Amino acid sequence: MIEYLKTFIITTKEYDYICDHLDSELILNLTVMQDNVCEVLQFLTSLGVKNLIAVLLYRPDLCFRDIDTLKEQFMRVDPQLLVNIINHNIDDLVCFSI
Amino acid sequence: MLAGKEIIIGLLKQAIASFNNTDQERQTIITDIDNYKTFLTNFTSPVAITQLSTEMLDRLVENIVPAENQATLVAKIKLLQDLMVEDADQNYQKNLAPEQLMIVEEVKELIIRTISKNQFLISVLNDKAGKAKTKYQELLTLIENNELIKESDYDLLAELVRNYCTVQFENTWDKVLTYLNVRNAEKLGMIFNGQSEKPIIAEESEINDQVALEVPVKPKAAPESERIEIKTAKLEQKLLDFIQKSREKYRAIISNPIEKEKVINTFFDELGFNYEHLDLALKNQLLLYRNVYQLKRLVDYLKSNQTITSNLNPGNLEALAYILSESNEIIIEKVLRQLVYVHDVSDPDLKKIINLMTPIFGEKGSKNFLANAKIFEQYGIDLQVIINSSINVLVVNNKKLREIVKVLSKYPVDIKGIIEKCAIAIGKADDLLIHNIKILENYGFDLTTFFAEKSSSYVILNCYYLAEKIDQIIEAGLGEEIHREPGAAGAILTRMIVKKVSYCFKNNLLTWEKASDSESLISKRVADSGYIIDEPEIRLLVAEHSILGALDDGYRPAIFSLTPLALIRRRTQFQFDQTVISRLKVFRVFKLAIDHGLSESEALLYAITYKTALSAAEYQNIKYIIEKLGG
Repeated sequence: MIEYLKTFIITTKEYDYICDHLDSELILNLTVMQDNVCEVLQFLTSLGVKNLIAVLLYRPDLCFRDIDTLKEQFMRVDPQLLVNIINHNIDDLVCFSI
Repeated sequence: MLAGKEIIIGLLKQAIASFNNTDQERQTIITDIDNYKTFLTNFTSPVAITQLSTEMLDRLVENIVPAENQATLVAKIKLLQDLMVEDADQNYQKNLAPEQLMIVEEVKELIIRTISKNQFLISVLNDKAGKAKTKYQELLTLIENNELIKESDYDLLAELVRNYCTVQFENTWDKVLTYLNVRNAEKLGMIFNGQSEKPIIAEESEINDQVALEVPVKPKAAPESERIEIKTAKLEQKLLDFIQKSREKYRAIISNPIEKEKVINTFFDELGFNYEHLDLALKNQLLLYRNVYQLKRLVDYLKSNQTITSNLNPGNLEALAYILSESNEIIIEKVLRQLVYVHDVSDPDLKKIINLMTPIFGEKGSKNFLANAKIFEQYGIDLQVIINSSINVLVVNNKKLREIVKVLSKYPVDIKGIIEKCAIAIGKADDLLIHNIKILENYGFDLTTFFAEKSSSYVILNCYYLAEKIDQIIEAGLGEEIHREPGAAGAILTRMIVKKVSYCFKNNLLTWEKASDSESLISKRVADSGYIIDEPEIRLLVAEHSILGALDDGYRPAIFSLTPLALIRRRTQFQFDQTVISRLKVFRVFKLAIDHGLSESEALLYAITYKTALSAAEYQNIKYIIEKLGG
């Protein structure tokens, strides 16, 4: 149901890890809302985010935000800093109110 | 083929016999309706369920299919009634669990359904009964005599099958429909081509003989005159149109998977979506979980009330498939009513909910949402904030949300602020929010003061690795700095993290120390355990491992006053010469390392040096201290 994630920069190993570690409700949400999830992941990739597995594991809520709202929220932070945080310590993002 | 005919004849006879009900029976049903309506009017709070008599309850549950579920529901209702009656201080009545509230709602729905069913029965029994009875008798005659069936007869039969075969509706209707379509096609063929009767009619005569004893048989029309009459071009076209229309109309009730898929495809089309682009797994889910009759009813509803379809993004096929397979019109109505009328959700936000949290229309999601909505309403939660941060909170497990509110209620806290600012933590599967509150408490935060801070400080509670961040701030010598300004510890901690992240990014430095053996099993265990330690546990650990007692006695900062800062310092730090180490980190990691199988001295060295940047001299000094402590 979430095989579409493989079309993003997620390796088979990472995909298997996601399937093992995400709870069933989140997998359901990723399936049902895949239209928006794809849009968000594409947006993050376009910014230079490479650590999409961290997004899915630690900040899945980002995948279910309206893309325009998300873009607006991201605009408040320096884009390079933002990408660096997501790629290296996504847990810090909450301190920037995102 | 014959099975379909037998079913129709059996059902028609059953329906005709029902008209022989006496006035007394009609009166009983009317009284029942009145009683249920009165009960429903008085059903203003859950406690009213105690007024439901056993007799009424027994009659109510008769309407539940499958019948095996009747006893279960009766048991649940009676238990709830008993609990409420015995509850002297009325705690039960005030604080019903969501499951119990669901039972109350179920009873309400059952009463409404029963009233509706009884009203249908009355309509059958009342003055219209005569007309209906005549219709059924005429139809019986047509079936028995293999006459052509009209479109209105299809409708009448569909209603009959629906009312008398609620459980096996789809299969029964399929058999009936197959019979009627084949029967009519042959009949029309004969009429148009002037063919003689087919052998099937001879077989069916056996049934005709049986029923002829009970129901007067309408004499057959003269075949010759019938042909002349129908063979006019206009009527011919009308009949062909009718057959086509009937097939279209009732195709929806076919249970064959291939046909079913065609019908589902048509439904998507009718709703303005392209079924062909739907994920295969979701196609299978639709085929598996829904019978086409239920789907048709839902599709009709979605067509008449277009809130869902007009708000769904055109490409959001998965959401539509989810709604079709997991929802129904009652759930959708309830959820929409709650969102629009109670929470006054704006159109753009409603669109977001429909597209970004579609499971709110599923059985589980809607139950959680409707129960959560009471909490949102009670504390004045702004749903827009939730929708734009962690929309999942709308459908988060209600038990979990109530637990969070219960914990928060122990403090003089702005629950609205916490729920809105910590939606990310609340929306996560684990109990991150409660976990982080405990961490703050263990690290010496005064929770009452913390909760009195501006709500922007609460974002810290959304961190996944809060304890490790505080550990590293303490080890950077900034532990006291967090508590420097009374009543602002949360804000200072948040600011420190933001500054650290920004500074390290600008100077190309590592923000947080990593474990030197980050790929090892023990390191992963420590990182992912989520284990937190408090003072009572530390005392137990010290009692069990003497080396910890010696460490705790000898290397905590000595204090010369009882100021809060001094106490926090002693509670959270070890001091090895100039090297500050987080005390809670040491005990936490030590416990996990011991559980992993390390010896006391190995575990202690691992715990002290875990994610701490040390020079070679500092590392040697710590090793020496551990040896001195008896490791």
